[in-house]
Amino acid sequence: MTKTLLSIAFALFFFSASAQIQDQDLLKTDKHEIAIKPGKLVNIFNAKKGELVKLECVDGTTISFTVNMNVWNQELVRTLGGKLEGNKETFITLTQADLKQGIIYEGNIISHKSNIAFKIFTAKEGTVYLQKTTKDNILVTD
Amino acid sequence: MTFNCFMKTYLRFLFLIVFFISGRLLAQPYNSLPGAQHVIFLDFDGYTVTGTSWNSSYNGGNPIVCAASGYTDAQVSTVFNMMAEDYRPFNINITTDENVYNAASIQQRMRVLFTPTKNWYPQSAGGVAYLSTFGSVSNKVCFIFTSALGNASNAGEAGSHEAGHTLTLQHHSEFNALCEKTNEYNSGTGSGETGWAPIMGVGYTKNMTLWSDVASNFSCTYMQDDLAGITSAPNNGVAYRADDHGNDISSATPLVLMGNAFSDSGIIGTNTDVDVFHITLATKSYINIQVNPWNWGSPNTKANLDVSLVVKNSTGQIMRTHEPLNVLNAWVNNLLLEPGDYYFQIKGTANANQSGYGSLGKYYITGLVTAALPMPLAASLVASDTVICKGASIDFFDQSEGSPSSWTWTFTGGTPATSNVQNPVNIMYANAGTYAVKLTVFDGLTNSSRTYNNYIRVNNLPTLNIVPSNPYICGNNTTTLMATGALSYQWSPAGGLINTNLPRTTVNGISENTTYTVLGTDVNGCTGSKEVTVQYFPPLQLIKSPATERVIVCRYDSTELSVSGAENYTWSPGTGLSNTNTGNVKVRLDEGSRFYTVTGTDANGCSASVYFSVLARACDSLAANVFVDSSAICTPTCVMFTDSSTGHPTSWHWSFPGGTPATSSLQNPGLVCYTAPGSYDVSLTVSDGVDFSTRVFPGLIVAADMPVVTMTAPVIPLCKGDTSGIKLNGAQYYMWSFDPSLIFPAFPDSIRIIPQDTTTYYVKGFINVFNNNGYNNSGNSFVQCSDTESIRINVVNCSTVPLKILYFTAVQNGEAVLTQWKFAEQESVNDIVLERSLDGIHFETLQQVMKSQNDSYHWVDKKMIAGTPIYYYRLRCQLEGGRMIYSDIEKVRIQNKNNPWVSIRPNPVINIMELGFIADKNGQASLSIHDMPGKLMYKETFETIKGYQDKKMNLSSLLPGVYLLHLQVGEKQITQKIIRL
Repeated sequence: MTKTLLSIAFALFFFSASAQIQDQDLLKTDKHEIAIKPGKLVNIFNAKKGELVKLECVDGTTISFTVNMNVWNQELVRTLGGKLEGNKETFITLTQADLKQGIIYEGNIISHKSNIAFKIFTAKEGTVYLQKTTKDNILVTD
Repeated sequence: MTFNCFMKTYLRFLFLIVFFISGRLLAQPYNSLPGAQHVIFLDFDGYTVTGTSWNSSYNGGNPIVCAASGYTDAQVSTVFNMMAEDYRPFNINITTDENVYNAASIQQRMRVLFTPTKNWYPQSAGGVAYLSTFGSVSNKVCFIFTSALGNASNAGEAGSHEAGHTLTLQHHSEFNALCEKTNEYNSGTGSGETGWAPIMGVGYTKNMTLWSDVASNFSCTYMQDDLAGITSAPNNGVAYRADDHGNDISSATPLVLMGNAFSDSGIIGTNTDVDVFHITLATKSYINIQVNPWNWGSPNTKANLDVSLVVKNSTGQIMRTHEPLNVLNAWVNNLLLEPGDYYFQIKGTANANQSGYGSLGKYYITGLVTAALPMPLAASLVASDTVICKGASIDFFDQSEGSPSSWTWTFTGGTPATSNVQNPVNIMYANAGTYAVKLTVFDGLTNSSRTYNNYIRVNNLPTLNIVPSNPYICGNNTTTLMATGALSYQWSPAGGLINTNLPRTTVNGISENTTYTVLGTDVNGCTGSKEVTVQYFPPLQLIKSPATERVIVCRYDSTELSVSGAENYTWSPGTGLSNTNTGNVKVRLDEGSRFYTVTGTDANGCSASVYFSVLARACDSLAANVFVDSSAICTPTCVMFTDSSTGHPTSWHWSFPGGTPATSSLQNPGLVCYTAPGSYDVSLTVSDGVDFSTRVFPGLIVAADMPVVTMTAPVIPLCKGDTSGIKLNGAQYYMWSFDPSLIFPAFPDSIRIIPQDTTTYYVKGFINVFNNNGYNNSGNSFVQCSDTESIRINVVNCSTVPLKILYFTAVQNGEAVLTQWKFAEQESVNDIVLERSLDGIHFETLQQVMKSQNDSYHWVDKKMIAGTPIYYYRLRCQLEGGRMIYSDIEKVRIQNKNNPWVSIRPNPVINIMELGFIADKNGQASLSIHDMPGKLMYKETFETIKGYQDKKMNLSSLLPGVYLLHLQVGEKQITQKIIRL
């Protein structure tokens, strides 16, 4: 029993450490665009506030965040938000809209400590991408 | 009515009162384009924001409860109207109705939330927005923080700005000339009614805030086209509104007269949009038109459209154009038009601060049409200008009342001076002054005349002057042109000028004659002109010789320096120069160096300078000089003469007195032979064709005879084991070939030998010849002349016991020499002879001494020879059997009778002189040698000790001749002639 608990604890620790590394690497990535794995987005919108969510990318990047918001904006449009596990000063917002032309996802990842940001958008063929950019290309003050 | 019923009624009334007092809620919502699919909702009454990045990123995912703006209806109206005007060109409905917003597609709407609640946002800001969210599904709200903006007008500006961000627009920024960003927000230019700033910059203090196409915040070279951005694809169909009025006469909108008035409105939606209105006049009428842009107060507050108004007739002829520079509205007053169709063309235009790109918006056109009624004839006129500059022309317009049919104009001072047309044009005034204009009109019945005295004032043109009047440029030089006589100036062409709008400009870099014109404008606005031609001359090229800047010259020589290529020259400084104002000069420096600047000026006045750095050094001025391979020789021999003169001689004349040949005219005469000893002069005269140099070298050659060494031995043969001596003569010193039987003596010129066998002795005798003539022009000034001689000494065995002489001495005794000797045994001695020699070699019998009983003998030599300094004595004893033996040779130095304390030898002397003297005590001696004229040639002071002492002197430095030697030892002194061979 003790061994089992230790194994679980170790696995959780390892998982957490691995996710942190992935998140930190995300901010340092030199990739311009990273595709999110198809089908991995739908389910995370079932996450509840406080829940740890993993967003898996095609290149192996995993973005782990703790949900701080899951709101229906209107019928067929809802937005999930959270704080990245690997970088507590970085926040993700992801909106899912079930439009006539299909489900699209939009959002952003914004760091409060640096000018690095990611725009989340849905390409015409339906693939959802993280596009590396700068914060001032997403959010404008004044 | 029951109480309850009363209370219900009362509460309803109270509710209505409260609802009414709250004002804002009771007002009708505003819509700028009802029915439009695209909606920007201005939310003033508070809103709880949920489900956005604002929430997740800034509020922990929690709702953001934003308070109502608190704006009054008037403030809401201000914001709405300003934003409605900004978005007027587009198919966007600016609304305050949330229902309209809710009804719009999520990707075609945006909520602009005006709220004082900003504590959740960590930065100081007047507004904040997510970019490009108008056409997206997320973050459908942007914020205007009313508490940070001060008033509704600023909130309206911020509202359009933040909404612009949601419609993809970035900021317009300011950059300096280096393309460095100096301001994130472009603050525009100008002030007053036409003061302008971009909506996406900062325009709180400007009247016109417009969509613009100036640089974005990305780069000074990236122009952001706001209109294209707003109508771009990401905004999901945002486009320009449909044009509301036709753009040409054929599609003109007819104006409907209501009485004598008309009014309409329209929107200039694009910067190519032209709205045309049409009116038909049935009778000749005066028309007044006023076109005002939408504004939020007078004068044209926050208007976006700078109006251009053009009146045309049915043929398209322009009847009147009005585009006032400093105001945004346009108008036409009292335009008298004949019956017909007329068109009013309205569009946006540029002004001093904005390009016309964003001159878009709503306008209102109003007008009055007044029929022209018959009026009494009254002459009246108006001029296109009443104050002009000399040479300008004026158009005159008949403004007479009534119906004149003919016109008589008189233009005092004008050309033409009269006219009979209704509206004469181009009346030119050639001279300054104040002039009257008279107009007489006639309607067929009556005349009317009116003179406008002092109506036209003609100002003189400014008289410009340019200094210098005849400028020129040499090569790449520059020249300055200075214009005077006006207040402001404009130079042209700009090429070659460093500035064009200042009175002083500099011409730089022209390569041909260039004529420049300056226009000068005076206080009256009159402009005069002046031309000046700047002549271009090629640069003066000075050619210098020597071409190098550094010139090395010979001291005391004159060296030519030359510069050519110019007409006049100035050398500076003049020190050392033959002159300072010609191209060729001669420089002569005695020493050191000097830097000369030569400035040449050509016929064009162009000047240039070249430089010489002249360094003087000792070198080849013409000076005869010789070189001889040896200046000390042993005759007979030949020496090699070569020319070592400096300068550049071309002829030579040599003279070799005593030599063979005696003369030569060759540069290098080669061998000259001398056969006799002596001191020989050499002279050489050289010439370079102009100058000559002669130099005599006294005693350049010193020749001595070869020595002839003679060897004499007193006894031949010699008994084995006996000693004997060999005397040498004929040289100064000798070098013996070594033989064990040699016993080296104290005297170099004699030697004792004890040969054990018959031996041949070899000796080499030397004479040193020095030439200390002081010249440094010979390869060898010293030579050893030598001769080798030998002598054979036969040795035989003798059986007798050698004579033993215990001692033999000879010493001066007064004016005689006392000799004393003693034999160890004298039995075998048969004969005793005392011999004397003056040179140590040749002995003569002085006295045969009788053998005595005693072994000791003495003899006094009283036969002294005057002047003889040294005597040599020896005994010659004949032993039994005939064998001869000799004593050692005793040397006696005779003290001179007159100068008993000093002896000088040899005299004459070649090089080394021995001086013997007796000092009475320890002290100093002083020795000096003078030539016969008395010039001091040698001097030495040295320490002495009491008694007799020798001193050797090398007199080789003296030229051959007679000298006086002076010696002082203590209180004794002597002066004696010496001869230097």
